[in-house]
Amino acid sequence: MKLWVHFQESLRGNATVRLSEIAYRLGCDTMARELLEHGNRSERLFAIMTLGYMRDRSAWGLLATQLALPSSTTSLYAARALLQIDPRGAAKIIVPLLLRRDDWEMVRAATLLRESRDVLGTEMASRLNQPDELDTLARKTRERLPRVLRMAEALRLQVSEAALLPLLTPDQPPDILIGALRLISGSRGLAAVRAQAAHPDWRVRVQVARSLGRLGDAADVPRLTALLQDPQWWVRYRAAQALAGSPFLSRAELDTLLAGLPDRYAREIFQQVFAESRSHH
Amino acid sequence: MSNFLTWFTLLYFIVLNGVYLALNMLSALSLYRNNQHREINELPQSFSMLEPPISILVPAFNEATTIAATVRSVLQLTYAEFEIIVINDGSNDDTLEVLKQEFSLLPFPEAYRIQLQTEKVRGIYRSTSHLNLRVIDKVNGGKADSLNAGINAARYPLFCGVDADSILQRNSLQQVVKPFLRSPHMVATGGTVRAANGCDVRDGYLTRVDLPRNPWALFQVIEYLRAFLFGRLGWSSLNAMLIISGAFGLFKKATVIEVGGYRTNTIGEDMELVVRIHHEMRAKQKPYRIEFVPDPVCWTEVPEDWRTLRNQRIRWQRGLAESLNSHWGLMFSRHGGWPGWVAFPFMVIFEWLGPVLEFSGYLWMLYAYFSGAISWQAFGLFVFVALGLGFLLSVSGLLLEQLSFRMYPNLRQLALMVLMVIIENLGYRQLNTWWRIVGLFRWARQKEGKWGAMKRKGTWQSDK
Repeated sequence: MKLWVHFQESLRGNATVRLSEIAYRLGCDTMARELLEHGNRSERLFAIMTLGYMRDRSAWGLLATQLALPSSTTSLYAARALLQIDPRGAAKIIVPLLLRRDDWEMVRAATLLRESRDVLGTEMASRLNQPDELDTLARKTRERLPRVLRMAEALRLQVSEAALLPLLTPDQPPDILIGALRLISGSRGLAAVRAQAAHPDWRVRVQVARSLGRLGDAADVPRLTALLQDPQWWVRYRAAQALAGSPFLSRAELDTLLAGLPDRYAREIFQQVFAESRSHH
Repeated sequence: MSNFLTWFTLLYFIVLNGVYLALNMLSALSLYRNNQHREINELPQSFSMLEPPISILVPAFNEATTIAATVRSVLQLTYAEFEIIVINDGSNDDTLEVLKQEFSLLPFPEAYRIQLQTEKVRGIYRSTSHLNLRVIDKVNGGKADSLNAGINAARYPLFCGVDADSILQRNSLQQVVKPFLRSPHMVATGGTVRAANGCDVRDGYLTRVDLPRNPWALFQVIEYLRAFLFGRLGWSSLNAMLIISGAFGLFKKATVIEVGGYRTNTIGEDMELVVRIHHEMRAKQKPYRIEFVPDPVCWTEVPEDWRTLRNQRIRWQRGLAESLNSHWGLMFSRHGGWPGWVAFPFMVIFEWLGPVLEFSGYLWMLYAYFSGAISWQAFGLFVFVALGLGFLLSVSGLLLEQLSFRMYPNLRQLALMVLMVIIENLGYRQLNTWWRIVGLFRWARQKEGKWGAMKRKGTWQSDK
């Protein structure tokens, strides 16, 4: 069974369907149920993976029980198995858990649930985009919200501008601002990003520079030029990257900008980013 | 008086081995937990791209013959995102020239940040063939100074110090980063280092694991198993590990900068940094964790002649003395926890002063025996406690290895290791004690530390 799971993890496409057929012929579903009941921890995990890969609908109840267990590893593998069996049905159960279970390692969750990103994304976005959902989360579970925003970013969700704007007010803590800045898009979003350009926390200013590089227009060149003279290296670096990659500045204009920089650190970072972009092309 | 000394000696050996046995049990428990996930971890892994990027720092001093192979092996590591920073610490040989030629280096206008003071940086180069490789050329300042320069140039939130002569497992970064993914309070993780002598290495990768023929190296294979598999793993489960090997360790850059980086005036900069992190985090009452990853991630060549081995052990003992001596404030401090109340005092009594007490114990027992001040039974009991428990601990190290990783699976290897476990108690262990006393003596004379010159054979490397 371990070898079979190993093959499933390595292969893609039709080969996995044929592998499932072989598993049914060999009675792996019965074996997996047996292990899920009586096996040790490692065997139980392999049993969960087997039932998931076999898309065994009759194992839904068993797997749902595993999903509710306190063990983060077991519950995450059960989540993946359920998503493999019935993506839409599982997404409705799993998204609330994604928002609630702090014990699920972000990286592991993103890796395991990546195959079902679309269906999870739709479900999560519809929840987060409900009026006041994020705002409620921000008020009720302030410490959990940055994680939710990071998870949304990991699953590449399109969270609406309307849902994110209340999180971009000056009274929000830096972690929430950073999470929202990484997801924001749209014209109203751009205005909110600009408003944070002088935020006292340099980590927020780094995200402002990145977001301006992604969303900004010609009017943001002076703002980014000012960020080039920020005391923090990373703010200067991201601002230089945003300017160097800006479609609103030609190479000659960039050279002029560089020559006119009064600050040595700003010039140095600009030269470094130029050198990097030259070697990347 | 004689009765007091006899019982003190016996008590010392019993407490020492008792603590080791306790660590052994903690390690066995930790390995058991680790084993339950091992089969899952061995499945094909993919990256989510949420893994924290890592800067790999490779300090190099006169490594012209090995540096290209080392960098090539590091370049082939499997991890989501990493950069390599080689720090040429004012080498007198062609280290920089070799790097320039092998990796097509060009001067790079780096906006170098001085977060930690170091010797002057003469230039920074970037590879045009591998964009994630940079080389810092600096004035000689020692290994710690080189690592600090590397930290200044590092872009990523985690950095990994690697010895230029180490062989890394391809998945070593994936292994040591795992504790960082689990806990936001993780500040450092260390990996298991094993002896590479006797193994085959091709193109910078380990292709076959075997035991060395050289007896000095064989003794060290056992020592490394004992030190890493139950020493560090045991302390790690108490969040009280006071050392992460300089050969391979992963650190949170912000924390290392916060505590002032590597100290340049010590030989044991790796241990000193870890003790300092404990000391400062405890004093500031900041939540933090330092963990050990038992999976073998790094292989290193151990000395095969007694002279090099002696020098290494003397250096290690001096490093230990310097590290502990700089942080008395941690011992029995109000918020010291396991590191301050158990690990630090244990290190002081059994690792720092231990060699003196151990050697005196041997001398006293011999004197007492020949002067008739002690009975056959008491002498026999001493031999049983001192040698028997030492043997038991080494065997348990082997057992833990066999139950978890089985790097030496065949019967010949196992029999040879058991034989060495017996023989090491009949001279090698005592010799080590003597070298450590010499180390203590030299530390007391306060001689300055510098890069440790290691005589390398490299016979295990088929292709350098």
